[in-house]
Amino acid sequence: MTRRARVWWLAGLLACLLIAGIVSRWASAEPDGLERVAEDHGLAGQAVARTGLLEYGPATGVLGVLAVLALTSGLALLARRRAPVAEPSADAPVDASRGSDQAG
Amino acid sequence: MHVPDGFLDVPTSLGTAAVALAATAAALRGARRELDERSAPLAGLVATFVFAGQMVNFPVAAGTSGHLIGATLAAVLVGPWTATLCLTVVLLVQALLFADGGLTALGTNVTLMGVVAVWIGYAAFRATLTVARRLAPGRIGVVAPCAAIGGLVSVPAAAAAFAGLFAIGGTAPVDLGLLLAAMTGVHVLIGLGEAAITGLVVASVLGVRPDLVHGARSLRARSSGRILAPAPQVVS
Repeated sequence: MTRRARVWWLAGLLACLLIAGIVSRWASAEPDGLERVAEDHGLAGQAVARTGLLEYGPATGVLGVLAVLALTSGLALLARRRAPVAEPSADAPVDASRGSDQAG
Repeated sequence: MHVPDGFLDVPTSLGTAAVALAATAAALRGARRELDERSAPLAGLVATFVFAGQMVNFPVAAGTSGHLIGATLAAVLVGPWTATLCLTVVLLVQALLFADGGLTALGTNVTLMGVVAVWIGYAAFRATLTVARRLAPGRIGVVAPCAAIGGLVSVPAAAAAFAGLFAIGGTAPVDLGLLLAAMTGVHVLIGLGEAAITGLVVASVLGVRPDLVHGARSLRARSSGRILAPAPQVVS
């Protein structure tokens, strides 16, 4: 990535962290569309509740963001790297390593 | 719209799990065509945004909220195959870490949000874009409104698909016509929020990095030149 691309990417990540860590504080706690319909139509009782490892909150939201970022970046690099190399490009490996540095 | 455990019977859940697995395998192959050195970092960012966006429920009616699905947004920004991968990762993290959506329902949720919402939303985006390009040839400005329409369509589509699955393997006796109407109705409202967020984010990314937006590729190819030409590359 060029310097400008890196700055842009980091700005995007910062926006995601702000949404997960701060904006989510004002999220509506009302049931969502499916939960509302389930209550109204008598299927809510069928739901099997379970407790997760984490509860949504500012800190865990940030953790979730980082988990999603790491997993998807890994998958994207995997999917991309397996592609047949049509033309040898000396730049590609350099870019890839920089990308993973950023992600980590 | 995260389906919990217990709503659908075992055979139906196994069926949606098979659909989800097949879709993810196909998406891993299909994403190769969409991802290059420049778009691969964007894929991570898009999934991250979808996860963060899904945390922010907005009110849609008395006592009801909704949140971004992000399927059309991801499909327009990084391509539909990569979008299926992004949504699958988001749903996996939500189910495993936060118990958001059931474990036996993971295949159902991937099918609804990672397959139905992604591909119906992307198809609606492409169809709208085809019309818009005839009306305003070469205008990159039409991409964001078309993405918004795709987002609007994708949410009730996934909701209707849930009602369809419930008709096949629901665990409670309900009037399926009423369920379909209720699911579609409330999710049209949520779809309006989806449309607003999708349109705004696509417009923002187009504003700074038009070269990265998958859904604007066909427009760039046609109106090649000026601002929209991608930065010089080694290949090409």
